[in-house]
Amino acid sequence: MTEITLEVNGREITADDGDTILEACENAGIEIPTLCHHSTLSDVGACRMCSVEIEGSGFETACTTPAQDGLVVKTDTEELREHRRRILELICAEENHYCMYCDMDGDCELQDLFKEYDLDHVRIPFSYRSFPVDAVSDHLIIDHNRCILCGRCIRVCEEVVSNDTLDFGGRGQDTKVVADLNQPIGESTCISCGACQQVCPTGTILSKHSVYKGNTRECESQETTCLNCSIGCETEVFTRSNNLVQIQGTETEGASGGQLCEKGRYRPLMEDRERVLSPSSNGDGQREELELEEALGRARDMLKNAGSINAFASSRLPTELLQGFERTLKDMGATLDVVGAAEDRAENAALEQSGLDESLFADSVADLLSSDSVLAYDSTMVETHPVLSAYLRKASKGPGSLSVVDCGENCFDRYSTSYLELSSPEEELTATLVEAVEKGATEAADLDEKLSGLSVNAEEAANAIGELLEEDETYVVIGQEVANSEDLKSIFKLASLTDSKVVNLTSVSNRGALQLDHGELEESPELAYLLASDDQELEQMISVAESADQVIVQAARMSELTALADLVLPSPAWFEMEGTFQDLEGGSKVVQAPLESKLSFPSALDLIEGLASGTITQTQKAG
Amino acid sequence: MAKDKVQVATGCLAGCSGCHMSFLDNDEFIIDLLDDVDILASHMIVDTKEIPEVDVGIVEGSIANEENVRLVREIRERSDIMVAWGDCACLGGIMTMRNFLEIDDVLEEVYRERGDRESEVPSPDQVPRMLDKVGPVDEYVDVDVFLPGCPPSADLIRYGLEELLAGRIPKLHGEQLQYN
Repeated sequence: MTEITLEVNGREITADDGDTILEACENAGIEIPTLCHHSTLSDVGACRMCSVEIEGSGFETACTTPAQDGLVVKTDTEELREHRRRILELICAEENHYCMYCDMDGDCELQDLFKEYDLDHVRIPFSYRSFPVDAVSDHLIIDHNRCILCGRCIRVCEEVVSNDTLDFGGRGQDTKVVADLNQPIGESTCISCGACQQVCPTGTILSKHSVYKGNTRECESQETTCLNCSIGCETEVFTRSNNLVQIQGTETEGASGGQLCEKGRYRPLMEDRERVLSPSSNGDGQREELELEEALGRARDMLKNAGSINAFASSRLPTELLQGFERTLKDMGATLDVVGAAEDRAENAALEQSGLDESLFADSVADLLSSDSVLAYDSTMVETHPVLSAYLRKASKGPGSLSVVDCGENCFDRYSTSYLELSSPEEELTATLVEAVEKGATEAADLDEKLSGLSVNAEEAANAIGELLEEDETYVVIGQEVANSEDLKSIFKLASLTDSKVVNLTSVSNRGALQLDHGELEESPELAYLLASDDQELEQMISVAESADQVIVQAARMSELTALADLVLPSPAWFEMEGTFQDLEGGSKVVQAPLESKLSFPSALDLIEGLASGTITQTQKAG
Repeated sequence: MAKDKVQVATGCLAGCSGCHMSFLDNDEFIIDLLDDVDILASHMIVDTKEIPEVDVGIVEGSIANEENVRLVREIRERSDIMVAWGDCACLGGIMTMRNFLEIDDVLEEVYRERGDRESEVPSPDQVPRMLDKVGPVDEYVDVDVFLPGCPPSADLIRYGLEELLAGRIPKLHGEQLQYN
């Protein structure tokens, strides 16, 4: 890249050709105030706060003006300060920016600028206009009275999350941010990822779960990894007095642009299940609280006396805990499995049977962002792996295309170029497509006959296959509902024939779990031991519990699963555990504990190891 | 009364007296202050109702009714330097919440719906007539010193007074500006 030189405030700085004046100054350590600019988003020069004086051409916005060789720039003159203060006064007078009734007081970029530009009064009349407040969503409050129309929320929705829900509506002074065609946000196409809330520089977009719990600048914070799915998004968790306040995405420089999903950002704050703080037994439908030592002794006896044991763990746990679980339970003769591992075994079987190897799989999910074409099986990945789904939407809006195979709803409806709609998951579409590709008969006319017994439209199928065959960077992404090794075999074959890379999503979250010695569980064992912690998706664990005569559940919250347990043991909650997490790409991430454990023993691992010895060190903890 | 002392008058407009409370929060500093300052009128401190000619006039509160307009003009006319204490006087403050409502609805609700059976909306000869919109002080008179905050802290009020006594016009910057 060519280097250029410009003069800023009398100082010579170098920049890369193509940098904006703002980037050039930031890299040289020269601060320029901004409001609508955000590092992960495109620049639009909406707020004019970053105006600088360029010799020979007057005021220009630094965020949108390219730095050029020989430019002479001033960023902090009396005139510029006055100009910026005027902008802030106009903003202050236009809507309601009284900090004392706002949750973001002390946490607000607009307030920071008010202070920096000495806003002690406003020299123009206040408008006192009233804008609506949209508070019908489960998660968000949008108070348009505090909106400065910087458009960050609109850009993050479009450019990062690629969901295109938000936009400007209205004209002139009636302009406001709208969802879809001016629907309330809770009734719109919004997926509640909360990216707009994270980038909002004022108190316009707020989370109902965090509002009035304290501002983030006064909170303690800890970076950690989200345990919800195998993407393993990096998060910053804000806490106050050992309570959760807010969760934000931190990978703003990475592929995800710092986005999270509803499950990662909001669900932990919405947790309202009763916390399991002490062990209890279930005698005749009555829960009886037990001392920890006694419960441990009982669990040990149950495990020792059982002829057959199924040990089944959530994969939304750190690797170290799962390894401890494996060591202890295997020693006691248990058969071990992990939620989602069966899908991984099906994947391995399919790979082996089709004579393919690991090189079929994509190296990095971020590569999906630059894909030319993607064929997605099972669009429920928008629910199970929302951030990865954003990559597919984003790629489809560029030169790339997206085809979807599903039965029922196509969750990528607004983005897919073709939809291969099955009438049932059993329809043998892929095998037919494989045959067509092998014979080189993939035109709509050829497929029309082959697909005659199926519900899939031949033209849509021909489009999808054509894209995979013709384009360079092509991918087949498989949702977790496709878990049968026969189906996987056909899909792998199709991917291999079309030179496409595969991303196979399963219900495994921490892939460190797959390193355990897992296998198929006993059909009806005498005892099942289930390790759930905070997991909310309990279907697989519930069916394992139902197959056993006796059930021990170690969990952080009461649930349908603990209702099935003869013995309930406490577990630290997600945000009280430390360890490592292996994501879909095999990368190792750190899980930290933003909250101090509310339990009376050091860690989940101590309790599990205590099962073998029958003793445990107890710590003093306020409940 | 030594003539070399700085003469001050303060007034409370549509406010809660919180800024004056914050001034009183300065405790023993007020004793020292009285070596240099004569407080000639102040609704919570001195009995005088008349506003005399002073060097520094200080107001808190926003302008919400005709009496506020009269008082703020009187203080302005009789002061060399005009100081606005607090968010209400500087920016309109919490009183401006009323600007988003119809004034007749507000009066009706406050005096009749929330009152007892005998209550009625007071007439303008009983209480000063309310203005259509509540606004900050500088919409009516020139202000020389703005000290926003709800209320401005005791330290900030002290800083403002000390700067004036040192012959400077205080100007707040950065974290000195608090809007809560």
